[in-house]
Parts: sequence; structure tokens; C-alpha cells
Amino acid sequence: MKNVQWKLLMVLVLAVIAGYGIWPPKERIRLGLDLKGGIHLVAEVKIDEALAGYTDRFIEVLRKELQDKQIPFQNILRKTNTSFVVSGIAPDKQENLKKILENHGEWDLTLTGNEGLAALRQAVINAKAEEAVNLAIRIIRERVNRFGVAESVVQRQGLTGGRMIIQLPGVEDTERVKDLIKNTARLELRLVTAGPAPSAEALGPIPEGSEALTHSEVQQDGRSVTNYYAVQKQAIVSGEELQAANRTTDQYGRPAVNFTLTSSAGSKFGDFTEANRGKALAIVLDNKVQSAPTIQDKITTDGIITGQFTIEESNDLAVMLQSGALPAGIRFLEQRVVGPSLGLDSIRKGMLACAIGGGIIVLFMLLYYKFSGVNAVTALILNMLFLMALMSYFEATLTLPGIAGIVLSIGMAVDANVLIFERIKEDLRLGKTARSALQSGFAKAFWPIFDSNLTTIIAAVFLYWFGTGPVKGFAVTLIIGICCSMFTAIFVSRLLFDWLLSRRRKVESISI
Amino acid sequence: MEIFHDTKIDFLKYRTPAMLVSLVIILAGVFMIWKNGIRYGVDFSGGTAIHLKFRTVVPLDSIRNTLKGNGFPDSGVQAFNDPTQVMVRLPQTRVTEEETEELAERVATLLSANALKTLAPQGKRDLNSATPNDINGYLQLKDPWKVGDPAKYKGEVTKIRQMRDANAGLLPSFEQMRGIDAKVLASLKESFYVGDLAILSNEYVGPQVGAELREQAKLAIAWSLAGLLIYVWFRFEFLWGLSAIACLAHDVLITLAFFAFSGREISLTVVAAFLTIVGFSLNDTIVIYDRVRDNLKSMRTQPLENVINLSLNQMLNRTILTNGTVTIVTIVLFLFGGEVINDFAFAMLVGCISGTYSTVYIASAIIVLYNRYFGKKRMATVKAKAAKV
Repeated sequence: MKNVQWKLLMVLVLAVIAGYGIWPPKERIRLGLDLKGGIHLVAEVKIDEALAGYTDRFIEVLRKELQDKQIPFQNILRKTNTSFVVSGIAPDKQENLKKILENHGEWDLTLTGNEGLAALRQAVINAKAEEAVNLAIRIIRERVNRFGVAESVVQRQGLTGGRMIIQLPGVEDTERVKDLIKNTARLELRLVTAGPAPSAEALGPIPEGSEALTHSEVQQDGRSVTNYYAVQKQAIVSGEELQAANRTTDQYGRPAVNFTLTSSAGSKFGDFTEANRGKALAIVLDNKVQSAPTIQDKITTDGIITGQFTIEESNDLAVMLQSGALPAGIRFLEQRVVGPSLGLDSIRKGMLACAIGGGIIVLFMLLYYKFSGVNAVTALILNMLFLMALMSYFEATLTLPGIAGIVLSIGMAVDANVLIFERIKEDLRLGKTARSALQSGFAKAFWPIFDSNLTTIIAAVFLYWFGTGPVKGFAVTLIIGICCSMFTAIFVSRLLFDWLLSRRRKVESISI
Repeated sequence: MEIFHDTKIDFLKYRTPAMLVSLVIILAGVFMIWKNGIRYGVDFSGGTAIHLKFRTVVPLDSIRNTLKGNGFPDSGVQAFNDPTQVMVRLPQTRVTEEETEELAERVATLLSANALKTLAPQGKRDLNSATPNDINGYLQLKDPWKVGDPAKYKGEVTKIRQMRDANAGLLPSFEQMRGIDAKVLASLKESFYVGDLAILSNEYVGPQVGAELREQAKLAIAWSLAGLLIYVWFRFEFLWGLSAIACLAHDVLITLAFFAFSGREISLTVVAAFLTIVGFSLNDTIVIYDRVRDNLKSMRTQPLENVINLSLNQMLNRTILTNGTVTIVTIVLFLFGGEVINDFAFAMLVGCISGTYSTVYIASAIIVLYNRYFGKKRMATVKAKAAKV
């Protein structure tokens, strides 16, 4: 009899721990986006773009190296994302080209006539792609964190490929957040060689090593005007050399972003500005000219980006610059935006339905099984308590399909109690004593309960493995729910009976 | 208390007409699907789905015609139980990922202008679609209280936001916004109006993701069924396992058929419902199997049919209680659970009824039929196994 009391104490302690674990429920139970409202995005890093960018940068490096070593060639052109062709290279100089590429160790060269085709090695491609994806995820995570979203999730989907899942509960500014995530935010300070001009043609011939970029501005009367600048391709300083970026205001009190360069970039920039006084400097963001002020004086580490920003835009730009530029663009493959009122409605109605449904179950059990029904209802309540506590412990999110999982596990918990009680009843009818009917009822009902619960768990495990999103959420709550219901329906319910019997010496009947 | 006592109903007697009914429903469903295809939700088909809430009831035809006549010829409009809510579906071809929000906004503007006949006042914005940040920023700028401390407006913004969330995304008119400061309201009125339409949710699924989700859902279901087969085989008998799987397939097919009849869409949530049905039906089947196996021990000379009938009768109270309560819960969920889980609850309801029925007329009936035609040898192994357990 002592034994029973100890077990009872253990269950009580577990219940208290569980209760403590989910208190206060508003904070401890993580609601999914379908219940809370928010944004769910599946984004893909444009790996091709990152590789093309890598090839492009290498071409510039190679061009410079060939020029430095005075190896004559006609042109270097990128052929695919990961290959390029060096044309017009004399047969006697081809060995030199080969040697240069070998030194870099990433390219395979095929020579035909006076052309050389260089292709990036597969292992390098894989490594670069991996690097780009990891970098993009890190940067996006940082941007989202700096933006200040609680419980946000940014994680890779699958082990390969460029996909990531981004979940932002409670966020309503969809467009703003998407821009924050999507924008590459590559900042460059480049020298203006010509412009501004109203059209690209009006710039005249663009000098070697320069390109035409646009600058758009909304004028006082609300019309949008686009101007063209010829800007050097080679950046003097780029975003990687930033130390800090912050929201600020310009001399007219309009929102702007100021930045601080690292000290080495600062001294480089200082030398450059000193030598180029009176020329225009373009502040280029994602290949668009933000502004093109004239260099008045030597500038070292501090600069300001002006433009027509709102306070939020200047804030977001600072966040993006601070987190770094994305290695490639982002494409959104899936987007779900749930408004807060829909989530609220779902919760309210779901709660109402659960309350009515739960009430009906409780009523049924009490009417049908009388006092034993109390026992079953206690087990059910404990079941819910343990389920919620475990969900909060594993930080599982509660979604609508998750609620489905809970409904099923409650159904199975009810079934377990019914199975046991029906067996007990049958044995009582056969004339067994209360004690032995309880004993045999629980023993006989154990296997069918075990079988049906285990098969369901097996199915749920497979669903968890292969499923995505909602299906996974369903599987998690189902597995946890069934484990809890096995414990409460078999162990706790039995314990309650034993405890009741232990308090009375002679037991003629049980109320069932 | 007891509902039934010592019943002796010959359940299996009606197996032929019952199986015929199942067959007819499934065939009709298959025919519908063959003719119209499975209606996939945006999860699986890709495209855009916009869930809208109107202040008043707007006839579906008027919404359809407005969309069709204004640049969305291939749009679909779906009704909910609540007549003031609709789901607008735009197929894949019309969307690029960049313009999803704009698309939703465009549809909303179009509908409020044409179907609702509420034209937005010149230069004013809809307060329903303004984010709390927008409203806060606006109030800070206007500073109707002249307090000079912009943080002061947070409380009013929160109140407006809560009022909107509690009213399914639609604020009452300015005059009826009780509890909001009059000066704040007057200031908002200058640049905002209260529209009659709200976007409750907005989903976009790319073509490739849709196809992948479909594949993964199928794979998940197939593997879990295989897992079940192996377990039931191990615990009972291969034939019993197969019958259990057949019965699960039956339940899913019946539910699919009812989805086809009612024109409902298969979404990820509905797949979760299918899994719930499978779980529940399996539970029911296994519980009966267990009793049959138990009874086989003491009734080794009886024909299998009698053993199953006896087991079903013995379990009748349990079946009515468990399945009855769960069915009632799903009915409650179906009636009061809200729009988002309505499809889910519908699937559960059909599946619950089908799952109870299929235990008798599919899972048990197949075993009896097999036993009758291919008989003796198989039964011997079952009985031998039963004796061991």
C-alpha cells in the first residue's frame, strides 16, 4: 500500500513540474503562424548568380594579371556561370596562361587554336555554392534579428541546395520585411567619369573601364526623374570594408544613413579623395547611384548616404549595410502571410470547439462510468497537462494540424479508458470480485491499447521523417500525445483505482 | 450504465450490400476526379490564394464577374460557410514572386470599387490595411495632442489594432470606435477612411514547391502505410495487415470522394486530416482484431465468421462510446471550428464514420471472404499464432 502512495506522489510531482513548465501558458506555448499571424517564406539563394559573380571577379583578376605580365590577348568573356573564354592568345603564350591558372588552382583549361576555355572545377563549384548559401543565411538571419522579430526562424531547408525557411511571427509589414531580406545591399564608392545626363546617349562615349548607371529621384512636384552617370567599374571602397552603419539625418534633417569605414579602407579612401578633389564621387547601392556629391576635401573613414528615404527605409538600409551584402540575389518560392485577425479567429473558434467537444467527452464519461468516469477525466486532464508541458519543453509550435494531432491523441486516450473499463465491466458481470476484475481488466486491455498506439506512433514517425511543415507539426504532437496518453490511461488510471481500493478494506463493488 | 447488453447482431450478414455501397461511392468519387481532376489547394497546385473578408454579404457571381472583367480571367472564387468571406485563387501563370502583395492589394481595390461600390476617397488610405507602424508614424508626424513626445501614441495605436483584430480585420466606422481618443480619431480621419474589405491572409506557392510538397505528402503517406503493414503483419498475420491497409485505403478514398462531391480542395491541412483518419481507423481495426484473436483461442472450432461477429458484439459498447464521442467532437469542430479548419473538420467527420464502418465491412469482411475461398491452411496459422499469444 505504501507503494501506491509513493507512485501517487510521483505523479503529483510530475503534474506540478508540468504545470510549472507551461506557466504562464501565453508565453510558454509557441503558436504557429497559422494561429498567431505572421509571415512564412521559403527563399532560395540564386546560386547561379553567386557563381557568375565569382567568375566575373576572377576574370577581372586574370585580366589584370595578364596585363601585368604583358601577355597579349584579345578578350576575356564569361561563357557560362562557371566558365570563360580567353580569346586571341598566341600559341607561344598559352603555356603562361596555363601556369597562371594552375597557380590559382581552381580552373581547368582547354586550349583550342588561339582560344582557351577555362572551367571552374566541380569541387570548387560545390564549395562556392555552399559558401554562398551559408553566407546568405547568416546575413539574412542577422538582418532579421536586427530588425527585431521575436522568435524568428531562419534555417536551411534540406542539406543541399540554396533553400531556406524564414518565419517571422507577428510581423505585418510584408513588403518591408521582404525588401529587407531580398535586397543585396552592395555598397560601393566609385568615381564618376561623366554625367549627370538625362539619357545614356547624352553621356557621350563611355570611357574604358566605366559603365552607365542610373540615379532616380522624385522631384517636388511628384514627378520621378532618372539621370545617368558614367561611373568607373572598379570601386574605391566597397561594403565589405564598412565598420558600422547607422540611421541619421542629413543637414536638412532628412533621414539618411551614415557609415564608418575600417581604418585601412579609411586611409585608402583618404588618399584617393585628397588626390581627386573637385571630382564627383558616386555612392552606388545595388548598381544604382544613390547620390553623387563632389569631393570637397579629404575624407577618411566617415561618410553619409543621402537619398529620398523614409525613416524606416534609412533604418532598414543601415541594418542591411551593417549585416553585409548578400553574395547573390534571393528568390521567394513560397510566401504565406496570415493576418492577426484570422489567427485570432482561428484560436477563438478552435478553443470554443475544443471546449464544447471536451465538455461532451467529460459529460459522457461521467454519465456512463459514474465514479470511474471521474478517474478517466482526471487521466485526460493530466494527459493534456503533460502534452502541453512536453510541447513547451521541446519548443514545438502549436499549429492547426498540431491541434488535429491532439484531437486524435485525446480520442485514443478516451478509447484506452473505454477499453479498460469495458473489460472490467465484462469481468464483473462474470462474477469476479472488484479487485480481480480491475486486475484482469487492465491486463487484458493492455495489448490492444499498446498495439493500436504503437502502430499510430510508427505511422507518425514516418510522417515526421518525410513530411514537411504542417504534416511534421501533426506528427510531433501526435507522437507526444500518444506517449502521454499511454502513461495516463494505463498507469495513472490504474494508480487511481489502486489508491481508492487501498483506502477501503473490503471492496464489494466499484462504481463503473 | 450500459447501452447494449449481450447483443447478437449478425453484422457480417450485410457485408455484400455494404461493400457494394462503398464501391459505388468510391467509383463515383473516382469518376468525379477523373472528370474534373483532384482540386488541389494552393499548397499543391501553386499560385496565389487571397482570403478576403467583406463587411456585408457580396454575391459570389458579382465577385467572379468583377475579377473576370478586370484582367483576371482565370481567377477562381470559393465560398466559405461564413457568407462574408471568400477565397480568391489566381493561377500560377499570373504571378511572379515579386508582386504577390501588390496582387492582393489590386484584387482588394478592384473588389471594393466594383463589387462593394465603395470608392476610396481621393488621396485617403484604408485604415484597415495600415500597419500599426504606419498609424504610429502618421500620428507622430501629425501630433494631434501637441505633446511633442511621439512615443505617447503607442497606446492608442495598440487599441486600434486590438479593435481591428477582434473584428476580423474590419474596423467599425470612425464614429463607432469607442475608447479611442477623439483628437486622434479626428487626425486619422484627415488621411484615412475605413474600408469594407480586409485581406485576412495571402499565400503564394511557387510551381516547383507545389509539386515538391505534393510528392513529399505522397511519400510520407506511402511510407507510413508500409510501416503499419509490417507491424500488423508481425503482430497478427500478413493477410490481416493487408486487410487493415485495404480498410485505411478505403477510408481515404471515401473521404476523397466526398471532397470531390462537395468541391473542396486538398491542402496540406487536409492531408493532416487524412492522416488523422488513417490513425483513427487503424486504431479501431486493431482493437477489433485483438478481440478476434483473443476469442479465437477459446472458439477454435467455430467458423471465423461467428468469432468476428461475437467480437464485434462484445465491442459494441466500446465502439459506440469511443467513435461516438469522437464523431460528436468532429461535428462540433465542423460546426463551430471556424473557416480555416472547416475542410479539416469535414474530412475528419467523413473519415470517422467511414473508419468505424470499414473495420466491420472492409477489414473483417476481407478476412472472412479470404478464409471462405482460400481457407483452411491460413486459418490454421492464425489459430496457432493466437494460441501462442
